[in-house]
Amino acid sequence: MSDLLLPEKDARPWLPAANVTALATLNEYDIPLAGLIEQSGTTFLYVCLLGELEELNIWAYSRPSQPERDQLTSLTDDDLAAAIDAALADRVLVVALAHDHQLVNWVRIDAGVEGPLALAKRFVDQMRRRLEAEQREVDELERQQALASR
Amino acid sequence: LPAGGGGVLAGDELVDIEAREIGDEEYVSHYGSRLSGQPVFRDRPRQKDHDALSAILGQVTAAEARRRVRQAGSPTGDDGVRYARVGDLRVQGFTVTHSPWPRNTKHVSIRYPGGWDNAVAGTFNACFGTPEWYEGSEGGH
Repeated sequence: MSDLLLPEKDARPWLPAANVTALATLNEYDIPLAGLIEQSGTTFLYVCLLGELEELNIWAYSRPSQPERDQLTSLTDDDLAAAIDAALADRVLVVALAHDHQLVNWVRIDAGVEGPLALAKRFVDQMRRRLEAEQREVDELERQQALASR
Repeated sequence: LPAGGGGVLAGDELVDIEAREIGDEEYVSHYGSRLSGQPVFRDRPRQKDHDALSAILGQVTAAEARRRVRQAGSPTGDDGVRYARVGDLRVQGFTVTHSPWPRNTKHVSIRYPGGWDNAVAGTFNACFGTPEWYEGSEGGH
């Protein structure tokens, strides 16, 4: 049993791996935006953090405690929105990027109480650093290749 | 389970929300965004995922519409809403049903009983008025 969701590339963000089962949808607007899912016996909350109407969107996957699950399944509207925020706080999350409703990449983020918007920003910053590191690696490989071919 | 559907909860009970009938004289609000530069109001479902478009029951402000859709952040001038009379949608062949979700108990599903092609998308758009964009207050409807 893992504390963190294990996503799969190209999976739907609201059903993020072949071994995930949908338990409940909490919100939907054209597509599922928040809900509870199960993977290997563990219940996770998924929620779209950013890009609900856009082609690119950012999703968070959290493992709620039983009291948090009780809140998530009993509250409505703004109270539920607050409970979702709380279930994203003070824990390690999987935060993922999706394009055209397919997961592209993801990282682990140790979340505090910064809220979903700041979480999305941290994710973007982390992805940018990762891309910059990969770019440096590519540049170095190209430099070595150029040196070798002289 | 709510009328919008809710998957299968094992060991938990999801809050029960009653769907209600929607009268022809009522309005729905359609949330849109110009966050990506151009105004986006979806006018057809992504048929590989869903057979319906979403809207919000009643005439809600852009701020409320945003709050019911987006989890993060506060309303900005990029948040918009447009309104349609339910009877106007129905006379064009669309079905409009209340399909509440716990996070948005005013959720409405709009379906079309045939192929949702460009002509249907145009008819759908024509049912709605001019978008109203958030201007920094909760005023309006």
